[in-house]
Amino acid sequence: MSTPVTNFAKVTVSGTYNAAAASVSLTSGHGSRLPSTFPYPLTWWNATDYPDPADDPNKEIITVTSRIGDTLQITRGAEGTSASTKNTASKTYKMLEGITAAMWESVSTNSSSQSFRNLSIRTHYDNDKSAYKVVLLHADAITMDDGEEVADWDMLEADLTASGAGGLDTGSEAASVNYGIYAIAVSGASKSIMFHREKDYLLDEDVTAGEDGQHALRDAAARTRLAQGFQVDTAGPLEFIDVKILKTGSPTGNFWFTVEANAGGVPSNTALATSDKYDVSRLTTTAEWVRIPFRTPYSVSAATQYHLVLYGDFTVSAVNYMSWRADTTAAAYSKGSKAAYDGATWTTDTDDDFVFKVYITRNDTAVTLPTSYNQQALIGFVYNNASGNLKHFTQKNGRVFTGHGDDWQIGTYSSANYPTLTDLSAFVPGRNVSVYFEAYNATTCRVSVGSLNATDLNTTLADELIGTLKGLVVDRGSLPPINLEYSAVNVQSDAGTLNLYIVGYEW
Amino acid sequence: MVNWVYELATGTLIYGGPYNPSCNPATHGIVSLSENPNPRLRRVDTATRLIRDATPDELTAYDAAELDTRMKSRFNGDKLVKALAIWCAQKFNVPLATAQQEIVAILKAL
Repeated sequence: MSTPVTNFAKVTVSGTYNAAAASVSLTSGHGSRLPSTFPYPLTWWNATDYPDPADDPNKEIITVTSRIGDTLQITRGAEGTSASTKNTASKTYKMLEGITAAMWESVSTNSSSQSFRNLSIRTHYDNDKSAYKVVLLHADAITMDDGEEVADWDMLEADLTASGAGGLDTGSEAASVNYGIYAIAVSGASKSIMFHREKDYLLDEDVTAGEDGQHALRDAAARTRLAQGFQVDTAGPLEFIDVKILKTGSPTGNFWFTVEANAGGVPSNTALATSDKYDVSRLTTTAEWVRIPFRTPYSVSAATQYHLVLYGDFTVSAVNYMSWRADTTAAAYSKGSKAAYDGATWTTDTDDDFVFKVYITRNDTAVTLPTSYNQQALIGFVYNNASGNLKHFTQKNGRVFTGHGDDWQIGTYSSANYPTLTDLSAFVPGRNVSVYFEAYNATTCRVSVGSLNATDLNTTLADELIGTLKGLVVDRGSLPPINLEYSAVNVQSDAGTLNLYIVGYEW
Repeated sequence: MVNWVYELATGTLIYGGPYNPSCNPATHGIVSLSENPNPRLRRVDTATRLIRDATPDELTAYDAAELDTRMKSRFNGDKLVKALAIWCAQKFNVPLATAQQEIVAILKAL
C-alpha cells in the first residue's frame, strides 16, 4: 500500500503539547493541506528556532491515523524518533509531510523488483559442463530486489559444485533438487549469478501399504466425519495431502479436509487448517488419488499427534456418498488410526488406517548473499536430477524450453477410465508455473490433463470440464499450457501407452 | 521417485512415472526407481527385481511389437484407409482381418 501524499503539505500547529499527546490541533484551515486518506507520516519540529527540521534536536516523526477538520489523531515517535514535548513558549511548531526513510523503502519494495528484460539463460553450452553449470548469456537489464535496474549482463556462469558468487550460496550440491538461479550484485557492480536451493515438499508420511478396503463418509448418520491420526518426522508447514477416494452413486455437494489437534486420542473438532473444498460429484466411482491443498497451511510439530479430518456437506444417504480407501485389517501405521464421528462422539478403530500421504514444506529459505553482495534477483530455475546432472534447458525471459530429452519425460501411462495424479516436482519448481505438455503414443488416443480439482477427467473430447485440457494424440500431440498448483496434475488416456513430456514452462 | 509396472513373466517395463500406478498383481509387479527408465532399453530382472539392460533379442522383439502397434493404429485410426480396406475386402471376398494383416505387413515393409 502506498503512502498518501499531497504537495506542499506543511501545516502550523496550534497550542502546546506534551510527549504523550495523541490529538493535535492545527491553525484553522491548515487541515485541508494534508492528505484525506491515512496513515501518513509528518515531521513535527520547532520552526522558530530551526528553519531546517533536521537541525531540531527534538524533531519527531508522527503517524497521522485520522483527521477531522483541523484536528489530527496521531501516533507518536514513529520511525525510530522519540516522542518529545512541543511546548516551548513563544515558539511556532510546524508539521511537514516530506519523504521519510520508511516512505523511500516502501517505494523500493513496491517497485518492479526482481524482473528482467531480454534475459537468455541456459545449461552450459559445452557438453562437458552442462551437467553442473548454467550460463547467463545476456540480459539487457535486471531489476534487483531493492528496485535498482542493473543493465548489461553478459556471459556469467554458475557452477553447482562451487560455493558463493558463481556457485551455490550455501551447503553443497544435492541430487533430485530444484535450484533457483539468482543474479547478484554489489550496488549495481560486481555482477554474478548463483544457485540457491528452492523450497520443496517432503513426503513425510506415506501410508499406502495394505490397502484392502474403504470406509464411507455420510452414508449413514454414524459417519458424518472420518479421521486419520498422524505424526510427522519433520516439522514445518503442511501444504497438501494426497488421499485415495471415490464416490458411490451421485452425491452432490462438497468435501474437504481439516488438520486438527489431538484431544484424548481423537480430533479436537477445531480446525488448525482447512483445505480447498472439492465438488464431490466430480469424483469417479473408481478410487483415485487426489491432492488436497491447504492454502493457509498449519506448521505441524514433529512427533506430535494430529488428525486429518474428512468433512462433507452432501446429504447423508445410503446410496449417494463418498469413501476413503483404507487398510481395514490389522493396519500397521503406529502414529494414528482411523476414527468416525456420528455428530456427537468420535469412535476410533485402531486396526484400521486410511490411505494417505502428508507433505511438509521445507528449504523455504532466503538467499545467502556472499560477503559484500547486497542485491539479488531470481532469474530462473534448474533441476539437478537423481544422477546429479542438471536437466537441460534454455530460457528466454520467463519462458523455459526443455527440449525432448528423456530427462523431461514425466512418465508413461496405460489407458484408464479415471485420472492419475502425477507429481511434477522433479521437473518444475514448487511455484505457480504454466506447463506445456507433449504426448507420444503408438496408438491413436485421446488424452486429458487437468488441474488438482479436475478429479473427473474423461477422454470424451466434446465433454467440457472445468480445469481440463483435452487433445487427440495421433503418434504425437501437444496440449496448451496448464497452470500448475502444488506441483501436480491429473492425467488420463484412453488407449495404448501414452508417453508424456514437459516441453516447456513459464514462471 | 518413480514407480513402474512390469510384466512378471518377461520383466518388460510397461508404464509408470511420478505417480501410483495400479496393476494386476497376478501378472504384474511394481518397482520404485530414482528416474524413469527407458522401457525399450531396460528390463526388470524378475529374480532380483533390479534393473538390467535388455538383451539384443528383447530389443528386436520390442521394436517389432512397437512397429506392429503403430501400424495397426494407423490402419484403425484413419477411417479413409479402413473404408478402402473394407471395400476391397468385400470386392475380393477376403475377411477384413486378413486384409488388415496383409496391408499392415506391406505398410511395415515400406
